[in-house]
Amino acid sequence: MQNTVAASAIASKPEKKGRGFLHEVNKNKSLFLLMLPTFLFLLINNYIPMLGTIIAFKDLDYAKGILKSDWIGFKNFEFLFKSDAAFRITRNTLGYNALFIFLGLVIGVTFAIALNEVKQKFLSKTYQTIVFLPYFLSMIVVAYLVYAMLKPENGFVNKFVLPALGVEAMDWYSSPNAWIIILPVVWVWKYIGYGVVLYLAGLTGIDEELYEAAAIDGAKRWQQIKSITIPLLTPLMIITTLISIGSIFRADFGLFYQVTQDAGMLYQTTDVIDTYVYRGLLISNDIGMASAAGLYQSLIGFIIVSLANWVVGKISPENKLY
Amino acid sequence: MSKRLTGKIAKALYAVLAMALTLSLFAGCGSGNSKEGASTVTSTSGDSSNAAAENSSGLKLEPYEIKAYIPNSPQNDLELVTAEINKQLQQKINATIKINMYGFDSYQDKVNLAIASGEPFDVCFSANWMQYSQNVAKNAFTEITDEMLDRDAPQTKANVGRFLDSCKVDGKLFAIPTEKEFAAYYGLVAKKELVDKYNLDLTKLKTLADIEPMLKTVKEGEPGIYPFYVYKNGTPVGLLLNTFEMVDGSNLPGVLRRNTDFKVYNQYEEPEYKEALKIARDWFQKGYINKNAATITDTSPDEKGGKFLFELQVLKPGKDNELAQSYGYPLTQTAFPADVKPYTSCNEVQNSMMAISRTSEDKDRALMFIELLHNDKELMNTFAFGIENKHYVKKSENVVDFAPGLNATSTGYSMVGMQWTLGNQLIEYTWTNEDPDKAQKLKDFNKDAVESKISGFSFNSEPVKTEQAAISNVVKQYVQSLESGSVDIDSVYPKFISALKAAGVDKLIAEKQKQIDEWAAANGKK
Repeated sequence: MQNTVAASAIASKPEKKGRGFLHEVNKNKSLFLLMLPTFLFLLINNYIPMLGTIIAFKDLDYAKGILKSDWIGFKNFEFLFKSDAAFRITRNTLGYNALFIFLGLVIGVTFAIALNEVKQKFLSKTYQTIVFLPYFLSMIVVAYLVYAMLKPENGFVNKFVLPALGVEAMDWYSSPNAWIIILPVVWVWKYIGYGVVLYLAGLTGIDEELYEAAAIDGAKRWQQIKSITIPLLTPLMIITTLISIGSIFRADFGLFYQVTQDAGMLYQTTDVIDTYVYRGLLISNDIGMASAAGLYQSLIGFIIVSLANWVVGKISPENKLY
Repeated sequence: MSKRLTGKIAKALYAVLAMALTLSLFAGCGSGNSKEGASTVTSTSGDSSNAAAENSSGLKLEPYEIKAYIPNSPQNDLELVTAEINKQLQQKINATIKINMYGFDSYQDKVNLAIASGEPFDVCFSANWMQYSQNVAKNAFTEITDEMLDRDAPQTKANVGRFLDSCKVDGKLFAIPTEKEFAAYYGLVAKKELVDKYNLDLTKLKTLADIEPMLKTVKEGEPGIYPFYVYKNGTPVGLLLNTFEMVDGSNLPGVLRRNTDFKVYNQYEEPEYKEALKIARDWFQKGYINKNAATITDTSPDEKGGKFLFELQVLKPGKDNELAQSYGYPLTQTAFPADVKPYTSCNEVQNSMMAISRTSEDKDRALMFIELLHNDKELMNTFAFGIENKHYVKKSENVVDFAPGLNATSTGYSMVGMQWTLGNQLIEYTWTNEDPDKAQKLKDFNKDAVESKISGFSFNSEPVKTEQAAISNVVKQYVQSLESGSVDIDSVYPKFISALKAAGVDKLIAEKQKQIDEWAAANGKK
């Protein structure tokens, strides 16, 4: 979905009033040349493969090849809506991703501003590294860390934390409700570092003179943050949020499959579109149905991101993405 | 000037590149077709007409490279062993081989990718638990006709005999089964030390209730030992599998009762299933089953640590010794119930096969290669154990061990533990700790086996694939938790059954019933 966003941004440029596209190209030759590698990269890696979406409407037969296989309409999409799981996976996917976007924004910006206030360079860098480190861990490793914490026998939480609090040990992997909290905690722990670094970069772009002027006028630290930092950071917050909204229908497979140990009793609160599709097609290995699921996710993502962008445009047109 | 020129050239190059990529995407499927067409032409016009002569003399065959996909963890000395194999192959069928070896963690993906992209290759390992029938339905494999068998693999045809029929899909053969045990029963593997210490008599086990006193004794006497060790698909309830026959090789609903009629049941609704669930729950609550039974993924620490009394296994003669080799201490096995007969159905035959790809450029040669693997002792053992005196040494005529100073991890080449994926287990050397009569015992085992009534039937899941996707999610959600006794039966079991209904289980059962009835009618079975 990022690509659609980027591509639309590219496409919107030459539309300025003038003497047409070719004139524009001629005028900004060097800029277009700079754009060319990325453009080709996107074209080859993201746009050309889009032709493959026809597989979603075909009964694929290797002997006939993709183009000559039979058309079967929307049959490949049926399994997504067939059972009562459809509601569950849609709710979970949308709910968790919305929550993650919100947490990523609030906690990310808060951390970034707090870190920005740490004036001692060594400490600031140390904190930044600590927050960023989990981002580089594989989800498999994270899954085992969580398992070490929560496993039924000898898990850290069951063996030390709960007894210390005088609470009886519980079986985390068969308590679906607990995961509504556990998953966001794991997500924040793992991913927040990336957002923090992004927003820190945005903060360093803010002119120091603004703060000096505000200080002279007698603005307190909190007032400075409220009236200078946050408004100047808003465009960046909108862009990152819009981009994540574009993939709101795609769940982090590692988080929902590995970290939960694919425990059946947790599906009520942990099953998302990606895990459902994986489990459903593991037996049938049906490329057509897998493509159908992917296309469905992309389409909904595209619609939602367009909607969000439209809403942003209504509220503050200068922050619109395209 | 020069800058502009290079820019233009670069642009032109990019354009050409982009176009080439676009075209190749479409050509991928097209060229696969034309190549196949071409190769069938040559094989009908050239190869087949005088194949017999070529086959026996081996000299008239054009040099050919066989591309094979074989599941095994990557081996350091693969190149050396390939050279040795090539020496033998060149002499026998004037072919060389390119072996693509991948561990099971990635094997399936690699083969599926090769199939989906139309890559030309010749042979690959396939199995019913690895989407064999889906690949057949999608035309990934070449049909092995009777003429091809007679021409290129007469010896294998004679050896495998009646079991070839079990491999057929709609009366057509698409893969040659590995020669090994073609039957199985479910049973228990037990830690021998504990069995001896507590004088447990395993020969009298008939029902789950017979096991309980043993679990109790060991639970009381051996703290830290799990009396019944449960892992994914290895639960006490799994012992019921000796009563049922899976119709499609998976644990989705829809089974036959063994040795009865052609009626398809939903095993999850049968009374003995529910009874077994209650027993499992009882055992779990009494602490006979490991607490992490619902989610366990890695069993090796507990298995290698010897932390259990019983665990469920699919058995064949010598299975306990095979496992003992990897666990590192003696084990003993018993069928459950103890007097159950081995059973053979397409599930047991189709669990290890070699198929010829649709994209193979010389299908006859591919089949000749399979024939050699099945009947050429030298070739089969080179594949399995590597080079003599480098990777293994002979202890006697048919018994081998690692070369001095080497073991399973330090050797440069070994397929030990994975040979069952390949060729013929009956002509293979045995390992020092194995029963030297293994081959004979396997042959007897196959002879004793009770044959399934639907041997030769294979289920086509196309009409119900939508339901199948939904049902497999439901099964994954509930079965392991229920069968391991980890959750309350009274509240969870009804939810499981109603979720199955909502996912369309009745349609799946009806489809299985319909196909089996049609098959039975067409083949005159009663």
